Amino acid sequence: MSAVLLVEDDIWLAECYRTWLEQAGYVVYWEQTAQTALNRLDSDSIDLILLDLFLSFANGLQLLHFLATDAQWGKIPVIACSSALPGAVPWRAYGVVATLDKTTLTPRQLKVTVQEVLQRAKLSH
Amino acid sequence: MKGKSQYHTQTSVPQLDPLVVAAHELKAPLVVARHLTQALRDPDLPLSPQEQHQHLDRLYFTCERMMRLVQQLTLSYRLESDTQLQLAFGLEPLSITEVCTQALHEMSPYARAYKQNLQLRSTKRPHIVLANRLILHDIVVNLVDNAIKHSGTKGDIILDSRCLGDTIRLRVTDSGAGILPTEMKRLKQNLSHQPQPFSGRPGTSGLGLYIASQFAAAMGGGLGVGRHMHGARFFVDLLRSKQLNLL
Repeated sequence: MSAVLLVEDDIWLAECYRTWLEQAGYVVYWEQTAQTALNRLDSDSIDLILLDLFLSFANGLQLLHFLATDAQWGKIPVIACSSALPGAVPWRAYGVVATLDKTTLTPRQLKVTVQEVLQRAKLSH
Repeated sequence: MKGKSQYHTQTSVPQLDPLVVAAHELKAPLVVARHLTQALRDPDLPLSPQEQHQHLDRLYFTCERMMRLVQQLTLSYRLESDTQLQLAFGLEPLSITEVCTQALHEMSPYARAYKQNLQLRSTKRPHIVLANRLILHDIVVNLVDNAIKHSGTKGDIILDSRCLGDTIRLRVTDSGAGILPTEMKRLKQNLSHQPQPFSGRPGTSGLGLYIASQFAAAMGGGLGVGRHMHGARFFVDLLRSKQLNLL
């Protein structure tokens, strides 16, 4: 069973995503800040990160910097999620393999994207 | 009372189209409303009656929040463009406790939905300020709303007031993650300038705080922010009414 680290500071949105992903059979760890997300990465084995880009204080981009510079965490695929994705960011360089627009996101799209990313990650290992 | 300029710490903030800022600010609650609606309609994941009720409550509070924001944006725009309206803002002696009690009564269900507790610490002698009732009410609601959104779950939000000479400082203290010093500088900047997306407190442009700042300035006061041990503390400085000292 794959483990998804959900990093989202809006409690109600996080509950929606968590429910949708758990229903699809994933183990979901939810963290509200970049700092607690890093703690979670330290303590648990994570297969995929679903990251809200505009988090509290240290934002999602800062977390991506942390991940990209760590030998182990840098290999974890990241799906970036936001209602306003900055277009000029070189997402691939940060380990972002897919982006999701919250303004159009559906439960099905979330599940399919997570499934595809995890499958690609397994094939590449 | 501090001079207005003391609340304005920076001058070189690039300005964005207010329409863009407002659109961004309204997008956040719309996204929440959309997701909650999807969860309610999802045939693959039927919700229990209790969960349905919870989602509907959340949907209602999110709509209320959007409505508040739209109304305040309208008033904010009118304040900026209509001198007559500014002059019409009559100030009257008001009890801080009374205005806060009313605002907290309105915000309590919203706070409960986030499992947060609102507390008003009254003073022995009532603090009386010269303010406009509706505007002060909106400021308190905005500060409480900001605290709720950023306190996580199961936190305490405390309102209290202090007398500082000719000023009454109304403080809203939350138990959230606090604000880093680097963010604090940017936040102070945003309180006094047109808000910018993706700055200030997370997930918002800080538009609500900017509006509260504008409303406070319209009454001769100012909005400020500070840190404390377990979160953030926003405050509004208001003119102390001296008339009622005679009572």
